[in-house]
Amino acid sequence: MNIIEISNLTHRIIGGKPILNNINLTVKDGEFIVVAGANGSGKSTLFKQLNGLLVAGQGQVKIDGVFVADDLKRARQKVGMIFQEADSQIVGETVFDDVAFGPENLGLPGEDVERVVNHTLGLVGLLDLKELPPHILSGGEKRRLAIAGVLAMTPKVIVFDEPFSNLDYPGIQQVQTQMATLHSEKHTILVATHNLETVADMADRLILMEEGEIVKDGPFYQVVHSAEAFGVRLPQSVRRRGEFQTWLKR
Amino acid sequence: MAQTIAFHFRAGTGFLHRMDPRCKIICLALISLSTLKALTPGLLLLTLLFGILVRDVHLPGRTIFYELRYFGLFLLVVFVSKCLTQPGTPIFSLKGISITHEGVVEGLLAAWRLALVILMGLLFSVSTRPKDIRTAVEHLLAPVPFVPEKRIAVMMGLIVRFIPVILSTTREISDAQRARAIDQRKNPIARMSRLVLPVMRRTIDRSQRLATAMESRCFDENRPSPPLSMVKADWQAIIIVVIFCIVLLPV
Ligand SMILES: Nc1ncnc2c1ncn2[C@@H]1O[C@H](COP(=O)(O)OP(=O)(O)OP(=O)(O)O)[C@@H](O)[C@H]1O
Ligand SMILES: [Mg+2]
Repeated sequence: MNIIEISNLTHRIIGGKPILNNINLTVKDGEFIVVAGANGSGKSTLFKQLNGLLVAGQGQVKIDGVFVADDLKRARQKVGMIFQEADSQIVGETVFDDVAFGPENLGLPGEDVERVVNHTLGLVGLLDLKELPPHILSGGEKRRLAIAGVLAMTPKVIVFDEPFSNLDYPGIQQVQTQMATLHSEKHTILVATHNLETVADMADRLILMEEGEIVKDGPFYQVVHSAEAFGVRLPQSVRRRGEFQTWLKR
Repeated sequence: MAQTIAFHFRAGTGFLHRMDPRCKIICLALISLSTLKALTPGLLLLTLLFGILVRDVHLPGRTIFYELRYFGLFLLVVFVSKCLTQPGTPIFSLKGISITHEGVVEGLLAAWRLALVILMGLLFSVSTRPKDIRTAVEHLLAPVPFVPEKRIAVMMGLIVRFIPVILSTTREISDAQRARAIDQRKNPIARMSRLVLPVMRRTIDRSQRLATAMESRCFDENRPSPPLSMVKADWQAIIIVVIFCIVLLPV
């Protein structure tokens, strides 16, 4: 079952060269996909097509069998998006209000909102902080709050754009744990990151992008060797794991 | 940790916590207005009321002092300026500056009134969730024509959320510029514009990202506002406060 189907997608800024050039991509339900590439290679622009924040001039995006452009609300509920900067995606005056924002927009009645929010805050371990204003949270807590805000809308696909930037080691671990849990619960996950080490253990598939095109796409440890050619650092540990796996296959 | 945030909501189950937020806003407005007119007996009554309500929200005295430590200075300024400016019989004078008996009395009254208004505001904000305040404002503004109450409510929420963020951005930028010796510049206007322009640029960038994030979480300006309901106790509270204020005004 394909949850995401992108065909012949080209996105260009008027008068410029395309930011995304003839992208074709299908994602199976439950896959964990890492998207990597140099700065400006088009990762964020590609992600924003998935829930209609940007709509390309050419080509189509289908989520769970329905064109994104035909039903934006549905696409945004199905595809939750966690942005690079946690601070500017937290809108509530308190942790609780922030998580309630999405469900309220979807028109859930009050009691349901409360139940969903408490459940979600429990999942990300922020239940004790629910009355606090978000600005006093730590970086890791803010990131988990941003994740909770998206989870409360019960999306099928969760998209993380640079989720590890600005985090200390415990913060990174918290986000990793959250991703692993979501993956094990059969969510489809897309992550854009420059830090392959943090996602190597979880990823099924790696997509490398360059100048708006998908240049490599395949099982993580098969594609990972090419990473450095496209401006992504390949950590020693990941390289060795990759070599070991190819050796096992032979 | 929660104790260190001034004027922030604290969970509770007392009468004030359960009261309808609209009703609280109306009562707060009435009481504040009448406080500004009240004299000693009225102020005593209001102080008594404050005492009762403090017990109701379970606010420890230490916390109150802690939250209001900056206002203390403000009250002192009000008191001193009244002391020095009020004409009347002098009780002490030095080099043409004299403190009058009337000045001290007026100063004390003024400081007392102001303190009561601030304390009542504290009670309100400690017992009401920010979100309920927002909903209440939306409901109270709904009957007023030509006022986009939903938009105002959303804006109120975002302001509360982003003021700390903007302040910390400002501090960061100003530190970075001082690290590069901006203090050496004589022209204060040049210094200001070096600070204000980057802060504005960062704020506009951030608001664009915020708008994108809100859109991706299905924000719709015309979503129905959460229902509020006044119960009998709320109406009783308003009636009592109105009577209280009428009695208070002449005394
Ligand atoms: N609104 C826009 N107007 C003009 N150019 C844009 C716009 N948005 C993005 N671009 C350009 O499109 C390219 C791809 O941007 P995008 O943000 O998708 O890259 P990215 O892979 O996410 O990069 P990073 O790793 O830095 O996050 C960049 O060269 C950028 O300058
Ligand atoms: Mg990006």
